[in-house]
Amino acid sequence: MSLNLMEQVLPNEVKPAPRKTFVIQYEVNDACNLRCSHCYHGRKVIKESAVGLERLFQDLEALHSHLGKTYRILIRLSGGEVFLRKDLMEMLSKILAEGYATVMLTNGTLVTPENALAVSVRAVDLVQISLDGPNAEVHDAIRGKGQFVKALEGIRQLQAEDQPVSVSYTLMQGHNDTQAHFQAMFELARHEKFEKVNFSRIFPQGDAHNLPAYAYADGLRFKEMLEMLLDTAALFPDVKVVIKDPLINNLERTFPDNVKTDVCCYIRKDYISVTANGDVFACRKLAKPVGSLLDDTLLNIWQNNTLLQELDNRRQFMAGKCRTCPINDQCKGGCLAASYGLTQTLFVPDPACWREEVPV
Amino acid sequence: MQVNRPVTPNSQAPVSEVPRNQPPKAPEKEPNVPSSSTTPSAPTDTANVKPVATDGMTADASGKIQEAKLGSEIGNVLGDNENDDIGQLKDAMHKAAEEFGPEVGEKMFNKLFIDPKSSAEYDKGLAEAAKKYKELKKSDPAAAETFKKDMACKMCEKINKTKNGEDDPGC
Repeated sequence: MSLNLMEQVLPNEVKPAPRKTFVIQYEVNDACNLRCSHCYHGRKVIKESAVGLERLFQDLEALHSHLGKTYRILIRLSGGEVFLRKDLMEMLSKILAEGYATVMLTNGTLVTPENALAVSVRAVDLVQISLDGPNAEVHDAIRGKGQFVKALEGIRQLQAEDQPVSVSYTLMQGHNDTQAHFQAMFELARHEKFEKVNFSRIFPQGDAHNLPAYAYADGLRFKEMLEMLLDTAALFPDVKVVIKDPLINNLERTFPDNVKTDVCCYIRKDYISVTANGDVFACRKLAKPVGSLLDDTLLNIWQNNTLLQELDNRRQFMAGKCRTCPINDQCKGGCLAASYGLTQTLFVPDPACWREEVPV
Repeated sequence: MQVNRPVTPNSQAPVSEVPRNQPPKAPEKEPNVPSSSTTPSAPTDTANVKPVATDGMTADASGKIQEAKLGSEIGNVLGDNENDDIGQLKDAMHKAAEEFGPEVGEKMFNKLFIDPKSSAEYDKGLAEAAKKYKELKKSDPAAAETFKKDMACKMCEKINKTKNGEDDPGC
């Protein structure tokens, strides 16, 4: 047993101090029933991860010993599409038995009353379902005809089984990022009783390379959009909103009480990702693997991988305006995944940064 | 050149018009109480027993919950399942759920023992997870007990909605 879960779930009055969470994003496959035009994956052909759960558990146990018991491990199951794995429920049971927490990422279209119940009884902390617009017209333009209704129905099925669900909204420039879109999305969240809505921007990699205009490469335009999102969220105080972006806290303003900001960059802090072919990524959206579990261990990569260490210490490697920026200690260059996706170069400024260059 | 599509966010039918499925009906037949549980014994003293809300349940299901509550200790009600791992895990889950209060305990009891669909799914899920419990019982009985309590606690936490979706790190 890796953790004493009792400490995490007892009522507040008897709970000890909360542990820190280390997240491993684990792709159970790289096959999907949808062909979303903004997907950060490229070809999707792997039906089953090259790294099985037992091997993952071994690596996690070693990593957990290194990190210490102040951490709990959360396995973020992703794909592809997780519901395409026929042994998904068995996997969830094994993860539960090992004592790890679980979150699942899915497009929601394959959820049925039966598998919603099956997921719910296996103690999945949260199921995250993507809705890239407040209605079928916006969502289906990216994900295919009829998918909005299917995803919404999937959310409802899970909610009916007491399964916490959150919604993930990928911001795409000019497609779903107007005040009207946000307002309609918050109305939907209120109506459907979503636990929360996560916003993050599109990453120009994988299939999303074919949608360059949707990526944010104009700082002032991006800033204006974030301000509008925050202002609209303030009109819906009962809707929980999370904005995940490394630049979000660079806004010099107050945030509504219902908005939680997440500067997101977890590189070598409390996150690592293993894709279906066994590659290990510092950030799943940063399309440059740091190693592979087919010829290395997670602990060795975490402790000794040169690229991972450089990414962690990127402040000293950053080029361009980041070198003289007065807030570079906190910002560290914004989102490396966004800049790498656009330029195929590491350590260059985030293309969505709105700050002016400061002369030396 | 942007590739914007002409999209108007509110051009879709209102959300309220997207039909929800009908909620499941209560079973008409007598619910299947798993073999691991025993029939609760009739209470001998009902004077100070708080009634339990039973909205939407069949009379039979409601009666079983009432009886279990009147017995006050579900452990007593399900007490002869020492040799049944799944029964023990279910029992532990129910006890853990009751830590969150009687309403949560009752909801969990219903899911574990009364609702036939949910009870069957718990049987399946726990059978998979109980493999480790069985191994631990042989090698380290104390660790097995900790495992049982931890897993039970984790499995029932959601029913209390102690998690509300805040815990979702990662891009």
